[in-house]
Amino acid sequence: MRLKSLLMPLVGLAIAFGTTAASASSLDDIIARKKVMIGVDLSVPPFGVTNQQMQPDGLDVDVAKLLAKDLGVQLELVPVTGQSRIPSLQTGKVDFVVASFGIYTERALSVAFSNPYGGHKSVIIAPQGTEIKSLEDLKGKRVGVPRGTAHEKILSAAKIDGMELVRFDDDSTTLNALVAGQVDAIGTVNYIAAQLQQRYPDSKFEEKVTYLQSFYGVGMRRGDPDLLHWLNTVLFVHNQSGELGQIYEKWMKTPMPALPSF
Amino acid sequence: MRTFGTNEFLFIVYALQWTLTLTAIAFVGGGILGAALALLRISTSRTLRTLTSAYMQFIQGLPLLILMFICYYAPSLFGFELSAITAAAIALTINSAAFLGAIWESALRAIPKAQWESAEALAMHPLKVLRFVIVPQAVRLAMPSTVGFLVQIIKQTSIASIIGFIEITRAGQLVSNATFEPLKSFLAVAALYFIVCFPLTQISLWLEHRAAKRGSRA
Repeated sequence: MRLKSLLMPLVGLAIAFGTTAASASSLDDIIARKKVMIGVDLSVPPFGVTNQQMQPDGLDVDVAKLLAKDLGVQLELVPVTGQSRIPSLQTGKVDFVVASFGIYTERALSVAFSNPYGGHKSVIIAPQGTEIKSLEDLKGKRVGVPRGTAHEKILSAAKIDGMELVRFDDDSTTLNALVAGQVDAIGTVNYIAAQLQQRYPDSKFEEKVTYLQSFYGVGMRRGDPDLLHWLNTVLFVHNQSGELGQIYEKWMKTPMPALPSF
Repeated sequence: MRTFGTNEFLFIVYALQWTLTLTAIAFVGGGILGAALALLRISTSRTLRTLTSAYMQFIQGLPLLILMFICYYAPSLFGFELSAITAAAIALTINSAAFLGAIWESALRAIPKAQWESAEALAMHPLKVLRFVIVPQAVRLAMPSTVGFLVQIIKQTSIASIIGFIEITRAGQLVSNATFEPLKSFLAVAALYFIVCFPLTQISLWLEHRAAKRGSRA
């Protein structure tokens, strides 16, 4: 009895704190605290990188800066990794995730997505001599993908007989596995393919199959339609004004595809 | 096109301070907590001994990765905001305490019972026996494995990279993805780990050697 009466106020406190944390994402709260916490992943070029001065930079970082400017508050960039994007949102570590967060049905069960602010193709890259016309031609080949990405999900769901999927930690190690010949082909985004040509002009790799056109949006906690509406509003404005397109071209070196919306 | 240059190398070297900070916190915090655990393990109360043992077994059986995730995300659910470094420091402290506790418990137990009995025969208070008779001898015994474990802690701090904390492993990953040169980036990381760990393993070996020599003389 005594233990219980001692514990109850603690539980009450925890619940009280818990609810303030959950409601802290609404637009008014962010403005009131004069700071927005945005999760970015700095290990996914060109979305998040560290620049020559070793400062956070990239497409996602530029978009995060744009959002903070619209809110008129200070921006706090919180480093996240591919796997920690959803837990960071759910536990209130960040208000938004702007980290090449592809809009997929499974993720929509856990977090809310804004309209897309960019999109890219997912492609199979292999040396020129390799005959790959469709995903079925990957039969019997070793295919490298970065772990925890849409590439991994789609290629493993394709159930191609005798294809060995090799998972790497990130884009950089996946790409180098292809260059070193550890894998026969890799699944990656078209931006990486362009990097590959630039970095290894002699090795003659080419894009083989496009298996996905994906779009990425800003992720936030579910259950806050007001904040989501604000996000979609500012993204709409910046898309119309061409600012999103400029940011996209600056990093992707290709024009931004037309952005469909929900 | 970015290549692996001086700036990139310095970024990794700079991140070394966070690896060392985490190690220091984990070693000091884990040391204090571990000493308490070791003493509880040799207490006269059977209940205390069993409870402590159960706790240590539980922590030792829990992967550090999971512990790190729990420490980072669980407090947020209750509205307590922990930064990545605080969460990593807590997880590493809890983890090292369980292992240091086990190392020191065995050192304490290795002191012959006659030492306890003769000190008690001199009417010394049990705490004084510990302070002046048992612990000084146990410390000498435990020294080599403690320094050895310190090397483990240094390497275990790399696990903090999964919660986005930028210590040298994560710094290497960031540089690798900015330059597309993973081999150079991670070789730099490995070299730095080696520079820090090698002297420590040498000290550990030297201590072991010295302890063995003293043992044979006794």
